[in-house]
Amino acid sequence: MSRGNNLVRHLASQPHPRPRPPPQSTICLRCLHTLRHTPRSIPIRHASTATATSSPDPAPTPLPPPTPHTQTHTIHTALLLSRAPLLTRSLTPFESAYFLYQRRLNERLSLPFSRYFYYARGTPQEAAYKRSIRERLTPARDIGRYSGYGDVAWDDEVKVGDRTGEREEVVESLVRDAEGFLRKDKDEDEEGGEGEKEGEKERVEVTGGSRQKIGKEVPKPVERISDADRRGDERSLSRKMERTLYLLVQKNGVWGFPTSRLGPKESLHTAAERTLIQSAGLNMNTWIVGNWPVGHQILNYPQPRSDELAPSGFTTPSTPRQIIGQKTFFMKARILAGQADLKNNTLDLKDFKWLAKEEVQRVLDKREWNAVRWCLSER
Amino acid sequence: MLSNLLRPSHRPTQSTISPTHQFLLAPTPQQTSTFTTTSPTLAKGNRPRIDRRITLIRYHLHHPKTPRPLRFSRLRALRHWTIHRAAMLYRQQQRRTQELELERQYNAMRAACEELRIGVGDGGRLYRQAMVRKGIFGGKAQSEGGVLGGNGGVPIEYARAQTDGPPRKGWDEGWTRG
Repeated sequence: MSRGNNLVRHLASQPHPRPRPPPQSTICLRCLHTLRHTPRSIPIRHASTATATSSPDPAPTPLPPPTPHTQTHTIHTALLLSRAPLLTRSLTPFESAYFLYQRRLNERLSLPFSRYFYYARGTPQEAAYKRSIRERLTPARDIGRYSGYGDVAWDDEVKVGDRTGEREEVVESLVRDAEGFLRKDKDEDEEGGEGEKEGEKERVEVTGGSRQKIGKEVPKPVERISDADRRGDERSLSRKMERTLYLLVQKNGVWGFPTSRLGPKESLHTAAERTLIQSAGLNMNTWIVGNWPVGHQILNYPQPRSDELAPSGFTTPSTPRQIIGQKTFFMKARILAGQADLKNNTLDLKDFKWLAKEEVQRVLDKREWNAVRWCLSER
Repeated sequence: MLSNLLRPSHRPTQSTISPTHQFLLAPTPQQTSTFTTTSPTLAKGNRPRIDRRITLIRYHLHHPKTPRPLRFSRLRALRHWTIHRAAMLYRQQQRRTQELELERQYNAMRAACEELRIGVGDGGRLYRQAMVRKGIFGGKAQSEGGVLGGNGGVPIEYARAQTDGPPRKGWDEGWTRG
């Protein structure tokens, strides 16, 4: 590097009427211009002009005495309190279709199910298994009606619009299977009309017949869309369960993260703990992840302000201190149980919300959003 | 799980026998010593009988239909290749997105630490306090008398895995301290 730089500097220091590169050099015009106007605080060595008349560099001027630091930023701690996602992400249509495709290929490759190994002959379990295998054609419960054996085993691809691999359909088939059912053929169903008359018996239409539930009711898994989602309740922590939610609070009509100024002799971590208690109350099981900040924001005021409270870590200055802005450090925290409660907050907060990343963007001031946009989790 | 599902599976499975199966298949070891070291009752016909369950498992694990062939027509093979390729591209995009997100988060964190180190004007006191790692993986929290910067370790609730369905009662909003 030094060799190259020396060469460049040497070439640049050659007298030229105009800043044009010599024909043999490869310096661009801009570099040449910069080099010719380099301040000569660093002595430039001239390899070939060592004997030339170059005056020795003047002695370095002593630095001015350090002036007292009168203009500072205040230091604040903000809390990125988040609820981790409770649910796995929902699959895209491409993913669910692809996984179904792979499961059916696996069905084509797997060994036959050895029934006698798992079910003793003549037991009710074996009878139930036989019933369900007649319905499903395969031991797998989540790939729809398909068999990997036989003449039509090649036909493992689902048609366009088929909902076999989707989550609702899989849940439906699993519950149906757990409940147990009796399959009726079509002709049998048509001749005997008792099933139609008994309205309370659940009947599901399938190709070529119908099913009749015979077992007990099996509770379905809870839906992934909660009541809070349907109500649009942004204060609930049961909303958007596959996303990370962040706590936002309203102060003087402006939404932001819970923030407070760092007290004297306080570290960021203890300040974050104090902010948490002062803003959202004690009844949250939280954990502040780590001691260092995950993001920061520097805000400069249009006019300097006088400081009422000396920022932490400073000895009392003799000169009056001016505040020219504030620096906010964001600390990451997680909520594990409980809910925010602003009843006894001392930070003058009026409202709170739990929002996902894109909702945070809608609510936040643009500058604050730019400060935190890369700290927040996409999911 | 995802990688298993996304693995190409258009080739027939190999007919490898796992070590467990080999053990099950292996005949009883031949006697090599010149004198017997076992009980004389064995020589009188009371040979140890192989467990019936082991025989059953062995019988059912080895099926004559192994390995099953997976034969594709020309168009189907082409379709399979397309599907597989699309899935791989999709996975790659996803990984790239995740990596970039992580990188941005790291950069934001690093910039914040750098600002804390030189931009606060307290001679780096806050930075030094923030860099203390003592007690972050265990011990008491600082508020409960632990070391400076101790946060009580990783809470056990943090180990909750994401599930396919939510809990029946939803989020525990009634939690109170103490």
